[in-house]
Amino acid sequence: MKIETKNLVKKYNDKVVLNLPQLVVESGELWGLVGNNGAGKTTFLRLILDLTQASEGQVFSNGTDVAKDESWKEYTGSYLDEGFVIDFLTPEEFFRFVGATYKMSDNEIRAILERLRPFFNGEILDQDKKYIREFSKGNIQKIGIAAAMLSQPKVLILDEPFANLDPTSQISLKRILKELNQEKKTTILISSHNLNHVTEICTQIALLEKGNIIREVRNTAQFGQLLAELESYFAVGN
Amino acid sequence: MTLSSTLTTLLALGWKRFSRSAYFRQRLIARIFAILMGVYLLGNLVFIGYFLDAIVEKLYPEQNIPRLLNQHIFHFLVILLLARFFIQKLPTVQLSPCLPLPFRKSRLVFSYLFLYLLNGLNHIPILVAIPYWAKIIVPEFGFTASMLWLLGFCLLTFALNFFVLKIKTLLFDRLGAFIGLMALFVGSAWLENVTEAKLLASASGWLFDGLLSGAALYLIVPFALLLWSAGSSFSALRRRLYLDHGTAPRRRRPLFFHFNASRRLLMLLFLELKLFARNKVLRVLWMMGLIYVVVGLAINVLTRDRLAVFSGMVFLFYIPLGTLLIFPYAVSLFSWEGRYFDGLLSRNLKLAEYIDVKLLFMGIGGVTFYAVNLALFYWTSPLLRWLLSALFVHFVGLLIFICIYQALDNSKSIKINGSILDTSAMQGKFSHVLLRLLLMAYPAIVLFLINGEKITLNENGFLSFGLIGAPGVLSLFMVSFWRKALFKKFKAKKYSMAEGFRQK
Repeated sequence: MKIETKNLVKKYNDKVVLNLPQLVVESGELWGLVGNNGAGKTTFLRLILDLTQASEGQVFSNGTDVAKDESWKEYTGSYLDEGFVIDFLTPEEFFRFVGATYKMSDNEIRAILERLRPFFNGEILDQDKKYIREFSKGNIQKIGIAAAMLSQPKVLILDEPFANLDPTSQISLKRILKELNQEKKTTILISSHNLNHVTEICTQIALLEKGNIIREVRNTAQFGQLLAELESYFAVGN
Repeated sequence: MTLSSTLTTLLALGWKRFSRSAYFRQRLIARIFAILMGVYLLGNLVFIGYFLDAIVEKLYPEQNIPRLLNQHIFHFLVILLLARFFIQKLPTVQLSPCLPLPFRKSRLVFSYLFLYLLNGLNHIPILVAIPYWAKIIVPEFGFTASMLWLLGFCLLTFALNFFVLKIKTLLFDRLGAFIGLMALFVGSAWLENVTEAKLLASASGWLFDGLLSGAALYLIVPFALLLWSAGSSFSALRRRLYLDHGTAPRRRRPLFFHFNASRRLLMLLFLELKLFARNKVLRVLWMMGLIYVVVGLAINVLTRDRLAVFSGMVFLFYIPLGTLLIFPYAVSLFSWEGRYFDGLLSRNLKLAEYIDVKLLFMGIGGVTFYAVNLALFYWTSPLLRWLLSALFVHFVGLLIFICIYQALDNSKSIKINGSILDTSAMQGKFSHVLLRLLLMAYPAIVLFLINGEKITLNENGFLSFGLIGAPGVLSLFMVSFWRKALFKKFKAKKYSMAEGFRQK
């Protein structure tokens, strides 16, 4: 599933916070968005999910304008922040709720959750009557990410997925994302401040600065070389 | 997802949210008391409706009560509109988890609007209207005409429900909205006074007198209003169902914590004001108070006794509403610290001074509340003026302290931009629920005891006013005790907050 932007502009009070004239995320790619705070990463992800209204231009998912046709929701999974989980449900209830919206049976949901069990590290499932609001920030993040992956979407969008996660979960998540991308050919977009993780798993990296993509790098270079290049960019001014 | 499954999903979520609110996590006895409190609040409304004729008769002897009240139904709905504008929530907060899921936005909006008819705010006017209708309208006008009257009233209430959403989506989070609403109310009152046209009263009288004449054709008006408001609020909500509407990022300046010892209190007040200005809940509450003051004063000066009837209808609202609003207000004030409390205390700052600032703020809130009521009632009835003054002392002296004290226990879980009537704001220990119930019931109990068998606005009720205000006065004399108690609570809260979610 290809994601494409055309003359996409987002303004707040006449201030342009995102300007992407042409950006194409090809089907089956694993994109990493990096950039300093305020670069426009989250705004871009919100525009793809039609959570924010574009000031100009469009976002196309598999050729359809996301603001005009909602069919993209059927094959897209996403997790942006805690506001997107329903915190008065237990994790199992929330997974069932999300699964039902994708018309998944209980058995299908259970099978996916079983596969994600190592990622949960024994802290999410089978917690008797513990509501999501009672979990730690990191565990809420895990619940949100797992719910996004539940329907085995063709497009997966995650905002800062590694933030708040413990090292074991970070490693586990990297492995899951790689598998989804390589085996299921899922198109994945993640934003992250962690250059190590992004350079390790992403096939394409976009560098955002003040709403503009200033560099797109195909991650074919040596891991260490690309990382050093990105680090030198972010070290400017130090 | 189909429309029916969207609707049932939202309904199921709504039920879970309600049944898992803080109330239902308490002991059985606490739940029973919570239900009793709800019954008490609803009872207030029924009480107003049932005794409405007696109140109006006292204020306007020798008038035809149904005809007179028919002329003021629009006024009643307009005031409700003003209150609902601030209380009623926009749906984006509740719907945000569903937005990226395979729900069609139009179906979400439709389901939301449909379910919104169950909103408690719709029950307020209907609960007042039904006892009045059963006691006065049905016996005097017969079944058919009275059914038409009630149907018209309910349709208008539902139209109001959608109309509030419509104007909120248009004016969301803009200062212009508040000023515009104020101008609308003051302007219409002025126009009525200058032209002596009694526009609103005439329109209201025409419609409801018409319905009481048994002519079903008059129903076209409320029905058309309902359809129009539902349709236009649907399209307005659908267009604006995005997370960024009205929330354009503002330039934030870093907070400055290095206080000069001699100017510390001033700086804290300044900080408090700044945080208040950036806190949506408090901004709305304060704005609401200020609008009531300005609008109330203007309407009273311009229209004088026209609203006297009205005063009788609404004054009892202030007993439950006052406690409902003051408590979340206190919770909001004390829930800020989650973000910067440790930052403050690690600087050169005395905790006691900080509490003083909070108390000062609550005091200003109390005075505003009093002014709100005074502005609405000053020229209308000396009796109500006295009663409200007594209630003010009751509120300021006792309720505010109790509310702050309890809020310090509860504020951990409150979201900064949560609704002011969010049930999570009401969570607390069993003793809290009981205490609040008694405090709220207290003025009514006193009135009942003083006035004897029938609860009427007795002209010789000085004793009752004194008794209502007495606990407040006593409490004000104990301010130093308050401060110490609050200090202890505040400190305990600091440690419990540091423990965070692990405490659960």
